[in-house]
Amino acid sequence: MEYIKLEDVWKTYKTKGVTVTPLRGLSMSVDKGELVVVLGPSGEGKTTLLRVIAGLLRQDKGHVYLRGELVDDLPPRERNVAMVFQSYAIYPFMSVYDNIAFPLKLMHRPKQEIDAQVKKVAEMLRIGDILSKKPSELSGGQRQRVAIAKALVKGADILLMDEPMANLDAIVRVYAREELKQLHKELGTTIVYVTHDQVEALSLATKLAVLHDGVIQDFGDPMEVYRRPRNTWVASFVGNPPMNVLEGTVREGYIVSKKGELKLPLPSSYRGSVKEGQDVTFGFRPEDAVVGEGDLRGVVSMIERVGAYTVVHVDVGDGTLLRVLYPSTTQVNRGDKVSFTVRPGSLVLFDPATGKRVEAASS
Amino acid sequence: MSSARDKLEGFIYFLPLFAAVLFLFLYPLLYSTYVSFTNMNLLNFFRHTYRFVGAFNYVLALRQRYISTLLINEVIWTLGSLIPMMALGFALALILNQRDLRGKSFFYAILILPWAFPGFISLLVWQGMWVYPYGFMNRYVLPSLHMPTINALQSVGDAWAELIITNLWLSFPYYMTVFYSGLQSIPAELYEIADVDGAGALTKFLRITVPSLRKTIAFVFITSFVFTWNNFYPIYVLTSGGPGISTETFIVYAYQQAFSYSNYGIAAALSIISTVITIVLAVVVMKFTGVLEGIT
Amino acid sequence: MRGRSRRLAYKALRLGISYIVLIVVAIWAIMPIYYVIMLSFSHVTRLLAVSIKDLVPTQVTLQAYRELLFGRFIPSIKAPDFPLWVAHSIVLAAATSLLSIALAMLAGYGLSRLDMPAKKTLATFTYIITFLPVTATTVPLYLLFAQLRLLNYYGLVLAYTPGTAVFAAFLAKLAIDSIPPDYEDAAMVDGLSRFGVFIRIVFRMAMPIVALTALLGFLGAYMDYATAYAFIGTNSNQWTAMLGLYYLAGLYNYASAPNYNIFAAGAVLMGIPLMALFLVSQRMMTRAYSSLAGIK
Repeated sequence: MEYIKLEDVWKTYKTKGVTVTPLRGLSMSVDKGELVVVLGPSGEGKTTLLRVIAGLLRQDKGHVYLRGELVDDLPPRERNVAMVFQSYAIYPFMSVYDNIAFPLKLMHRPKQEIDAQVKKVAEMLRIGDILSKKPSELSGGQRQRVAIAKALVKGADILLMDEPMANLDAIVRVYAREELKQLHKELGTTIVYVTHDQVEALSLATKLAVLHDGVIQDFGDPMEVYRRPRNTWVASFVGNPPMNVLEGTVREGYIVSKKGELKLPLPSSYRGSVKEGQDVTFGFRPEDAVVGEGDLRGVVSMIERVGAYTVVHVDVGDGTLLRVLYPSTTQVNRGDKVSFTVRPGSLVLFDPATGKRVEAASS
Repeated sequence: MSSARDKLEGFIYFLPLFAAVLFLFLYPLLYSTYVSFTNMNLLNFFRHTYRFVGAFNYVLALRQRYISTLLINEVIWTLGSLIPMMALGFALALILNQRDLRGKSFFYAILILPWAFPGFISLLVWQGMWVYPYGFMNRYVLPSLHMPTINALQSVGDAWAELIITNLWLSFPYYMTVFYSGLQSIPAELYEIADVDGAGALTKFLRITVPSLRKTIAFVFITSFVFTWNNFYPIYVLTSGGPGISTETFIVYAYQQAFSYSNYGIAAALSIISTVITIVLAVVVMKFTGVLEGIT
Repeated sequence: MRGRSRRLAYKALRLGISYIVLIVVAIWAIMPIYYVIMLSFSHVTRLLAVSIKDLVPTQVTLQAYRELLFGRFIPSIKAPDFPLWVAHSIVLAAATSLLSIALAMLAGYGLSRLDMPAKKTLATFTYIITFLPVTATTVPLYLLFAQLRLLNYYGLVLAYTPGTAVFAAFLAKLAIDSIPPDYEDAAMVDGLSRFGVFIRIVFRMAMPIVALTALLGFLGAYMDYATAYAFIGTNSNQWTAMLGLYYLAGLYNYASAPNYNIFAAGAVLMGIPLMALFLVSQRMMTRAYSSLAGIK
């Protein structure tokens, strides 16, 4: 069922004399038990979105529904949601135990119940042994777990997380991600998680939402969004390295790029959706370019060795650069001439005017 | 991040203070303005038999030359205090700023005593010391320095001398501290470059020290001016405005009119005049120093 | 070599003059304090009987202190007067502290977190108010409070509070500005109302400012004479410490004043702790300013 729903939400505010509107008619719907990651560039309204759901901010227009009920007028404490902040917001003057127990204390739960809950949640997050410490004595990873424990202890079934891993070391982050996924599986909490980190988004999400320009640009299964983005913006944002996006025209069963000398066969699934001579924008992922054989030609112009693979920028004429992936062991140098093809099923077509994806007539 | 509701919430938090300020500053001033136009005194206050007398109090003050005397006194008091205080404070700051001076913290701790010790109590002590002829100052200190004694009850000049010397004692440490930290914040490199260029001590002082401290000096002068103008206790305790009204200032005179003579009407008028002048001075300070940006 | 000895002579002259000036001023600075401390341990009863010998600590006695603490000066009061006066002062000052904290923290929170209408005008307005000394409003407040029957301790606390609270509100605003809002948001999601957040979270995290406000409020109220005299001066069984000291110094009625060494004892007993508190408050203020400047 639609557990969290935002309907045409608008929010404008003034900061330092500048007026910004981060949310412009945003609509989004989250099913129970999903781990929805809201991915978007920094400063574009992800945090605002979370706060509107929590009730810390009131939207100017539109509605927020939680568990099927309209909650617009409810203050945060009555919405039964839990929140983890980027800065963790752990009270420095309380011990870890008291921090975690705090929400329950506010609800005036009996002492034994509080104690049991706190210990249970602490066990789950493996912080049972630091309950008596003060926050200043903890490491970043421990603090993060305390923040999560604090959020979980209420037993709320909606959890909102604002880039909680941003302040962790890269290595710790990998483990933290795994633990979160485990936790999600065990508890079945509905989670809305915002981040600007691509890798995090793709690995954590059960559903991915891409936020840009005040609205959700794309929503769905992460790999679906990755392989078949709904518009050109999403195509060039999601994934690292991003999709290669080019302008072209349909000619005689091929897509011919406007710049450079790329000529790709039109996938059969699109035959019915586009006309001869029609201008299209098309895209394919760097990993879907097969190097070594094929009709497409180019010259290597730039090489990025990332470790697990190598990103090679290939000039295909007219200064148009494409990114393709090489295995890290393959030798490649600037100026090398390369030939490659593109896996036919990986091509995505977009309307040049709107940027929206063109649907295949048959899949 | 705000809505009408947030704005209201914010105002509610500010409300108690705002109400207090309104009730305890603004309203009394308004009421005093009203009183200043009446002939209210102790007798007719309780029976509400006081009458509206228009600008009588103000005219009286002008005609009997209270106001001009008070203004002159204010200027003598303020400038006469500030110039020695700032000069001594500055001189001491310069002395303490010398790098090869030993015992700085020792001297600093002693020199700061007059300011740290509660001013009112110090004034009570000083009052006893200035009594003519047997107070400590007149009996021992001044004669041993071969200086004339000070009789504030008889001579106007003596009264001012007493006031200014005592005020100097009370406040010079403040200026010493302010100027000392100002001097300390001048980067040593400026002086070192001047040394390399061959500048003498006087040149360094005039070309580096004074310009660097100009803003500090100006700010201190203006804020101290306003403070000294309204400084009640020294004059009240030491001379009570005497002899006659030759050392009275607005604030002391108003206080005495109200609480020694119960002339509430005149006291109110003088309070209003004094407050208006203070506000004008405060606005000048604000404009001059641009302090407001730092606060909002 | 002649140049070198000239420079050394110059340096000796410079340092010599410096030390002389420092020593002279230091002696002058400490003289009244030394004087009153010595008197408090002496047998001197009348001001005119003070002689140089009394300032030399040959005959030290605690008689004055004993009489101060256990003596009865005002016939109508049944208990030792001085401790009673001090108790009154403490009560007044503590009440002022608490009220100032409440007003200042609330206002500071509102100014910091919540968007208030007309912030700038309010800031200007309250800034001007900080220029008016407490005594400027003494006469107006007296006139107003006389009507409202507030010429008592309640009135005094009300009179003292705004002065401290306004200044402290700005400090509070700056301090709260530097507390990340996430803590409050987390607490609101956890279940606190905004006011609950203010009391339980923000207050705790702004403790240094709370302490500073308490101290400033305490000192401001404790050290006042003018307003206290105006409001309750005629009621000798309600006197505060400062009113009592004024009486002990013989400034009410010289002829019927108690022994002067008792005054000295009172001055020392009050002066030293107040001086210590004042220095502590100054330390706290510089710390508050520097931590805030660092963040800005």
